[in-house]
Amino acid sequence: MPLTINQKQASDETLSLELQGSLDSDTAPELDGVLTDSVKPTTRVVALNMAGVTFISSAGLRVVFKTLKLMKSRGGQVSVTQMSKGVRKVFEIVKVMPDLTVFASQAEMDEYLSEIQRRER
Amino acid sequence: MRITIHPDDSFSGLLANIEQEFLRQGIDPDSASDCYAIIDEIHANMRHHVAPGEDGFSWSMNLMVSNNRLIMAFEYIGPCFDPTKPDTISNQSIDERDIGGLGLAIVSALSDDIQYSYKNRRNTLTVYKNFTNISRENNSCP
Repeated sequence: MPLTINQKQASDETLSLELQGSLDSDTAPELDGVLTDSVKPTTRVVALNMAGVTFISSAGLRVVFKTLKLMKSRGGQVSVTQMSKGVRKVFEIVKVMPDLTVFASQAEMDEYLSEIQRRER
Repeated sequence: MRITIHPDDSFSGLLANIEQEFLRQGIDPDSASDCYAIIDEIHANMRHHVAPGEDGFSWSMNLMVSNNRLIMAFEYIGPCFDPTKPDTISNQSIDERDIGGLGLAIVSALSDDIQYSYKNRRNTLTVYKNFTNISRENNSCP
């Protein structure tokens, strides 16, 4: 299943992406490429809406881990919302949930990102 | 359903075939998603770690269903490699551990049973996954 990546918003400190499809060994390099191009030296929060992600394998996890490591090295974070049961299960298997900031809804995540943007101004 | 796979074959091409078969077998979406992740892990492992770089190397994947249990058998000829003993996943924070080594742990955790055998240079990994048959549910009388 192909991966579609929509950039919902970006500011100096935040980048928000909506993912649809599978995050597997074929598609993970696409996400890696988008993140490499879009994450700026000032980015501290990468927000991923995963409502449309059908499944994730370790190739997709590696991209999330890489981004998470980068953000944490800057005192930032990776936020996720609307994970399916299957995607959440894989994150739990690899014991990464404590490192992620999980939002229950896109609205909650948007509010959080807006608050960061208000502080930027 | 039996598929012969070569190292250059993309996972997306393989997935297209499998999705059709899973639909035909009535495998529920949650179990199907777990199986796609399992198959991608094994596919990536074969391509990047097992395939010796020789022309003509291939492996096979045989999908069978028995009593709401999907049986995925992967076979290839080569040196013995038992993938049923994955590394333990670290409890450390993400910034204190390596990124790799997760694939086989994911296969192990998502499957209901996993068996490995090696005979006459043939590696056989058999992964079992229980599922809910949604085609039977949909066809049942209220």
